[in-house]
This record gives sequence, C-alpha cells and structure tokens, in this order.
Amino acid sequence: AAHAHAAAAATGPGATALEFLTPEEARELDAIVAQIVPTDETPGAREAGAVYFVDRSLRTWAAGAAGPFRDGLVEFRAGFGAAHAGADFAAADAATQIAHLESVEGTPFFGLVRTLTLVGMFVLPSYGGNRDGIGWRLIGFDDTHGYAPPFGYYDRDYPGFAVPDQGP
Amino acid sequence: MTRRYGDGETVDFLVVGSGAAGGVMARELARAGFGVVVLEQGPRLAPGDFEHDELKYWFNYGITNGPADQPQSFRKAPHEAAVRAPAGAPLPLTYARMVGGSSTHFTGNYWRFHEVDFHERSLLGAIPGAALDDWPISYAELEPYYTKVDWEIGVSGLAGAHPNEPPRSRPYPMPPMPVKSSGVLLERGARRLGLHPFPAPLAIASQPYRGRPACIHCGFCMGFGCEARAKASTLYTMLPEAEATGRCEVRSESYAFRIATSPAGRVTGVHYFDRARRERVQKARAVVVCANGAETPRLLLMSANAQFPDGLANSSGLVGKHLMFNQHGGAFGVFEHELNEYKSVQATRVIHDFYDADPKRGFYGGGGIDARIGPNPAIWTLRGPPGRQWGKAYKEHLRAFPRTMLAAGHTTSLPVEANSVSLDPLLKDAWGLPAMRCTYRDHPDDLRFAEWLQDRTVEILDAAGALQVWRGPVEELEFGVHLLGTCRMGADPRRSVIDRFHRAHDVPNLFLCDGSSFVTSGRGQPTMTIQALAFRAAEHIGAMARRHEI
Repeated sequence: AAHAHAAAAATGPGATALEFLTPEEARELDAIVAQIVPTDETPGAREAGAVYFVDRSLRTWAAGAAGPFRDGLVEFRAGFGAAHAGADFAAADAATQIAHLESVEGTPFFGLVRTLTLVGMFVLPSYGGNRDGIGWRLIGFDDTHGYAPPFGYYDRDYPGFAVPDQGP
Repeated sequence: MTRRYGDGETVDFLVVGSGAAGGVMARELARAGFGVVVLEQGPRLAPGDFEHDELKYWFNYGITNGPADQPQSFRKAPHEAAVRAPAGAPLPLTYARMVGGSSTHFTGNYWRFHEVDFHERSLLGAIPGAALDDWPISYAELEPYYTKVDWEIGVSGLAGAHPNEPPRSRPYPMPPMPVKSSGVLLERGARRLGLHPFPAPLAIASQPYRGRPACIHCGFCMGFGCEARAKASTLYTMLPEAEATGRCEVRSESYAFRIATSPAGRVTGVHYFDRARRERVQKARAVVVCANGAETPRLLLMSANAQFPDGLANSSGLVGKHLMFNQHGGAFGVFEHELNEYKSVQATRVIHDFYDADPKRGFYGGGGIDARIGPNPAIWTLRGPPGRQWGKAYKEHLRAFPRTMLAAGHTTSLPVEANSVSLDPLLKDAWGLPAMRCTYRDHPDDLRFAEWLQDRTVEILDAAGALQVWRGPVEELEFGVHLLGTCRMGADPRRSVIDRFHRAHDVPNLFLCDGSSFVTSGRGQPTMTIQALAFRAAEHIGAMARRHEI
C-alpha cells in the first residue's frame, strides 16, 4: 500500500510537477531509488522525494547527463523486461528488484541514479530530495546554524590538553 | 578611503590575484607607501552571501572556477591527448574564484613547514623520476614571517605542544579551538602508540581577533565561505586593511590575460577584461603575479610575444612545470557513541611524528595526520565501507554518520617535470582565451607513502577503540586544490623561474608569489607557507623599490 501511495504521489496531482521525466519513467525510477535507500522503520529515498530531485537535476545542474540518463533508463527497462516477460520494474516484488539491481549495479546508469539519490537526500530540502529533512534525520544531522561544545560524547569530559614532557 | 585609479594612471605595483598571497602583498606594499591596484577575476562577495548549500558549493561550482566558463583538459602524461574535464566532477585545477581567492574556501589548517622541507635534496640526495631540489631559503629565514602570519592573519593553536614542532619565536595569538570528539579519539589512539598529537593550528578565530568575531562552530569551513568572518580569508583580513591605507584599489571581476612588455624587456602593465568583458589596460611600474599555482603560469604563457616566444619569464622552460597537488590517504572509524563530526572546524588534533622522510622505508615521503569528518553530509554519504554501496546495509552505514570520523593523512607530492599546467592548443574559455591543460601522474613514491601513512591511520583508529575501520581510496590524483611548484624559486636561472626574492630571473620588474613559488610540496596545508612567503617577498620588494632596484 505504501508503494502504491508513493507511486501515486510521485506522479499524481499535488506533487511537485515533473520537468523532465514522463510519469511512467518517474514510476520506474521511484522503484529504483526506493531500493537504494529503502524504507524500513524510517523513511527512505522514496519518501524523501528523490525522484523529484533527480528530475529537477536533469533539467538544471546535471542537464549534461540528461541524455545518457534517459538512454540508460530505456536500456534498464528493456533489460528488466527481457528477463521478466516484459514486466515493469516497478511492478516486481522487492526480492526481484534487488536481484536485478545487483546485476546492473556496475552500470553508469545505476551509478548516476545512486549518486543523485544520495546527493538529493542530504543537501538542502529546498532542492526537493530531502523532503521535510528526511535525509538529515536518517544520518542524525542536526540542521542548526551554529553549535557549541561539547559536540559529541568523547569531548564531553575532556580534561584539557596535557602538554607532554619533552625532556631536558 | 578606497582609492580609485584612472585608466591613464601608472601605479607603482599591480598585483594579479587577491587570494592568500595577493591579499598580503597588497596590504604590505600599500602600507609601505606604494600605490597598488589588485586585479581579481572573480566577484567580491559579502559575508551574507555565503550559504550552507552543499549542492551549490560542492557540485555546482558556487564559488570556484567551473567547467562551463573556465573549461580545462586533463591527461596523465605528455604523450597523451588531453580530454576536456567533464561537468559534474571537480576541475583538475580547482580554486575559489573570488576576492579572497582560495583563502575564502579553504579549511584553514595552518601547519608551518618544518626545517627539513627546505633542504631535502641535500639530506636525501636525488630521487629517480623527480626533480627534487633544495629551496634557496631556509626555515630560519622564513620563521619571522610565519610568526607574522600567526599574528597578522590570526592563527589559533598551542605552542610547545609537541616535540616535532619547528622552532618558533612567539606563541600563537589565540588558544586552540575547542577539541572535537575526533580530536579526543585521535589523541587517545596516538598516545597509546607512543605518538605526539597536538592541537591543530588553524587560521580560524577561537576568540574575537582584530575586529573579527570568534567561530560559531557551524561546520561549513572546507569548500565554503565563512559568514561569521572567523575564518581568516584575506577578504576579511588583509584586503580591507590594504584599502584603508587609501593607496590600494581592489578591482574585482577584472580578468588579467596578458602582461605587456617594453622593448627593454620590462613589464609595463597588464591587459584584462572588465566585468563587461571589455579589454582594458592597467599600467604599472612593477607587476606581482599572485594568481595561484595554475593561473600564474597560465598568465605567463598567455603573455608570450616576439621577445618572449615561449612565454614571459620562461627562458628555463619551467613555467608551468613541476605541478604538485599533495597526495593523501586515510581511514574511517566508527565508534560506539556519537561524535557529531559535522559540527565545528574540520581538524582539532594533528600528528607530525611521520613528517620526515625516512630512506629506510625504501621510498620518499612524509606527512601529517589529522582527525576530521571529511566533507559535509552529501559528499560523505557517497562512499561507504567496502561492500554494497546501496540497499539495507548501506542505510545502516548512513545511520552511523554521527559516530564516524576520518583520520586523514596528508602527504608529499614529488616535483615531476612532466606534471604541469600548460595552454590547451584547442580548448578556449568563455573569454576566448586558451584553457588550462593539466598533465599529472603521481610519482610512484607519492602513492607508496600515502598508503604507508594510511596504515598508520588504521593503527591509530584501532588503538582509539574504533568498532569498525575502513580505508579511503589511495588513487592517482586527477584534480587538486593545492596548486604548487609551477614557477619554482631557485638560484639557478636554468633550473628555476624566480629568485629567492620572487623576482623573475628574466624580467627585473616582474615578481611571482603564490603556491607556484614552492620548490617542494610540504606535507599538505600550503597556505600558511604561501602567506609567509608573501610577507617576506613584500618586504624585500618594497625595500628594492625604495632603493630604485626595480
């Protein structure tokens, strides 16, 4: 159900409009990013909106990769379809999806999707792939403008730097 | 107060570049009573312009040179065809393109060189495949100027904190930054191994200093500008003080592309593009090029004319040669409790026990180790421990972010003549000027030592009690932000470009001072030495001008 909901959110009205991908491409991509940072007890790349970040990136700062991306996606879908009776990747079960991604993880297309997914999840939420700070919460990044010591566990009770005896 | 010079005026000194060296040069010459114009190709930004925006600064060339307007090509060796550097990856020769230059986006690690850095050729002898040479100056000659950097630029640290410290005439003006958890752990691991960690010297204000506030520990030093003004960019330190003399004009968005010469072989001024891309000329009695280790040789090569057919000041043929980046090798460690390394400055503890080269290892190299997070979150998340780089296990790795640190080894690059900055014969930038072509392949010893020091970082993390340790990559470098050695100083005009006072051997009123002046690479963290050289050079250049020796 969560999958269906997210797929709808990725393409339906009310979501950020797609600028580069077709709704069908977005659905397939959404299924890939959802395996790169999967949803478990906490949200993953799907809920963080990775699809929108990738979509927008391919029209802006990563526009140079748009052609290879689209070619890569076509090839990816053809490869999956050939092995699974013409089925869409997004319609497959998780085990099938993971097995297929393992077989293509060395391709430039997968590398690009992975990089964009991760970058989007951990840069400013305004770029669309770190919705509501989902990525930052995952990695425990507290988005505050400045901090004060102690910063972590090990510097809490630090006694101060002891200048070593350097001999005569 | 800021002086404006008209188009027809001839200034005493024209400084090309407003970064770590150019800022110092401008202030020192203006304070000495000379009229100075600084040409800076990038814009002048205000503290409020700096953002905590990783996509912009790390992926979209927010304040650095970028492949759209400043394309570059790269090859490993001179016999190969250079390939245009792709968009999306760091440019081979990366610098901050703005007033303040790379002193604005640097990390602020301010190690002094050690005495050995200046005479390793004499100590170690020749190294096959490298042009290792002694500097024409010693540490003792540079020491007063290192101290000047400490006090005039503002360095925080603790003097006398370790036995490998080079001699110093004065303590630091500010105490070290508060230690981070990574610093505590590095210190713990190192001491268990009998090593001598010490508080990191940083060009970051640990308390209010010379009108600048103290660091707010925001964590966005490396690759970012400091909106708090605590990190000592010359944008905040030297340049306003230069302008306050009433004799210095910092002209931003002014892109120098040719140094003009007279029939007598003297420089007469610099041609540049203003912000409207109109060609202008600034006349000067002398020119000091502080444009960085990539742009300085490029400007000399672009200034070739009938009298200087191979480029200005290039009778040695060495302009652009001996490029050095500094190698590195380190390891990540995951600990039981949170460190939150994304907070505050990068490094708070350093180890210099492995600074000296040791012939017994069988290869050249030396380095220092510091404790840090590495880049900010988005870059950090791109490379995990060995194994699958996505999926359920990778998500667990991401969750360990607050408990992870990097023990980073910063190491030597040998000067290799084939490693160079040159003009690409075909590729042009957005102004129609020849693009930079970078040729670089690490000397084998550079890689061997980086791996050797990486082994030490693994041992330190293990000794500190890390639950999991993995190595970062040690690879042949294909880009650098330390741009060193490309117009090296020396006594012999056949084997160097500038003399010990930074005067071009071939041109009496042309001086070069920045990372290009380096003879050897040090062990990373070059900016402290770039600025010490600039203070020293400015003093001598000013004195020579007063004696009418320029």
